[in-house]
Amino acid sequence: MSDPSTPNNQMGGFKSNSAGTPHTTPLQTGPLTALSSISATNSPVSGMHNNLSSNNLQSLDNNNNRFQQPQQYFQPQTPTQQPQQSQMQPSVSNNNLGSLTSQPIPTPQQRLISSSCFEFFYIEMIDYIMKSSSDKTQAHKKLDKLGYKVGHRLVERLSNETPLFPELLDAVKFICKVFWTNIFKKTIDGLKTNHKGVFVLTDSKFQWLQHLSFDATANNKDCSEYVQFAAGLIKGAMSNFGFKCIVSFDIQQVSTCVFTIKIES
Amino acid sequence: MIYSLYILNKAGTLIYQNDYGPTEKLSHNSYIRLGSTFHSLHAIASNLSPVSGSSSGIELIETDTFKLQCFQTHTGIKFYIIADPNHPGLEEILHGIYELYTDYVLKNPFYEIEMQIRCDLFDYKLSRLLKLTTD
Amino acid sequence: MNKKYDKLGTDVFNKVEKISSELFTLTYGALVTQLIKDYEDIEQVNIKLEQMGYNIGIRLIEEFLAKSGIGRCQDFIETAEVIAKVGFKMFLGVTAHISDWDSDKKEFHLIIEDNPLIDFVELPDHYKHKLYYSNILCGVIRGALEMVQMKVKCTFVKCALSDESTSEIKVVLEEVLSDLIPVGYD
Repeated sequence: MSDPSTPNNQMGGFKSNSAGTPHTTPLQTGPLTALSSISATNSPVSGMHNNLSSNNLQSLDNNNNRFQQPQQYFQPQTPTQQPQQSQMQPSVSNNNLGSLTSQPIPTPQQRLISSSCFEFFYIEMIDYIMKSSSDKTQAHKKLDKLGYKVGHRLVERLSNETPLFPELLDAVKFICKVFWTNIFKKTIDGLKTNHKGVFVLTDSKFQWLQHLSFDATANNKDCSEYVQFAAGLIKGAMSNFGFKCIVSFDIQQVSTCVFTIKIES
Repeated sequence: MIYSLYILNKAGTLIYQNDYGPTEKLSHNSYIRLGSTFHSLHAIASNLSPVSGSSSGIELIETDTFKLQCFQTHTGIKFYIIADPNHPGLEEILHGIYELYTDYVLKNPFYEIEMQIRCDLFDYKLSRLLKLTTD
Repeated sequence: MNKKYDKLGTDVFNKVEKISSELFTLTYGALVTQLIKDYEDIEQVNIKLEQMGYNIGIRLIEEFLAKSGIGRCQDFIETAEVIAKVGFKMFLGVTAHISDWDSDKKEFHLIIEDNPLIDFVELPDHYKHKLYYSNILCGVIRGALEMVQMKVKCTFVKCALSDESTSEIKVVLEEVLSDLIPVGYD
């Protein structure tokens, strides 16, 4: 279904097909160990948590102030899109990248389904993957791969109207805002970076854990399989923008999920 | 003031019980017995109904000291609460509990259908709903 | 009766939390592909999809009952209407149509003109007429109805992906599980 005139196909030589970027070392996208919540003390990337104030990299907030500014980068695909769309020509030349900013390709009508529908399906899918895998690690690998495939394709459809992202940061911001909103109806709550290819995305109310709970006396409260797919989604989306990365996550108290994107240079 | 909530599965086994007001704490077995007794009473009452045609089974028991309101779903699950005799709006509360059940029990992948409900989020949401309605 | 359930379906759908369907469509597609990889026999994939649907249906029915407030259906005809106009609308955002009733009124066809699961999906030729891509729906209907004491069998008779115009599911009422009917609902 990929439209050859979408911007992503022209991203620096990367092809936007799902057979593209090979899968990175699965253990590093595992939920519990490596890369989880990079702390300022023992992380190889220095001073990350102190980096909040650096130029335009403050935490995203929900009133989306940050995204009013870089208009020249992209127009988020929201229902409040400016009316200039009606004047746009649907055809876009492959060679004329400059015209993409003013001539977005009209997207098909957005179809809605109930979120319970997806939730029930998601639970069953995770159950199937867990049962059809020989162990947890393999299950996580499969989920990551599935998420990758879906994320890759989803972002292609979502970024139909947006021009190329010249910078890594814009791609990440797109994921935090447009991509996340399409999937979870909310944006990422906090974004931090060390400007050296590591991004930390915090979702303080991760949708897919909202209805999940444990026996109050349970010792093992591992629900990482329900988040692994989302990590794959991010990885797939980033790869379609031309950035190969590793995505790991950490579940913190109740339903806060922290995803860490580490770009592979 | 809502005293307690009981949830019975299709077979009549108690799958959830909790207290929200000042009430005597019983042993776990006693609660199970109370649950199955109610289930049987519910069935018998329906059959005893003097009205010809189907009867819904026990919906409300009123006494001087408490009121018991029951809601049975079309799938056979029974939710019943015990509250003070003057407590209004128990039907809506039961409906609210049913919705919480569909959201926090059935959408909880770790919950096995028909089994004991042990979901801490469900407990939390319930106590918020039931404490709210008593204020 | 038709109008009443149409309206109810729309009202409930307006009330529930909604999300864009793309994630669902793409994830479902990824799952089907995974199943094809895991089970080489396509018939096994169909069976597995139906089973998964069943597991979903037994939980989904409670949300359906809670949110729609639908009472007990008088007969199987009403049940069919409710599934098509309220059930499908409430979860998938689309209504289905009922047709081809048999003389006993124990069998009907559910026609889905606009199936979100198959958006943008193209089935390779060697799977056409073999893979029932949306077979999960058959399981959901079967699971949901079993919880309200109706044992049915659902099969795909036409699939829009196999070059046919619409998707069509045949639903056959095998028996009413009367001994399981909750007391008071005879």
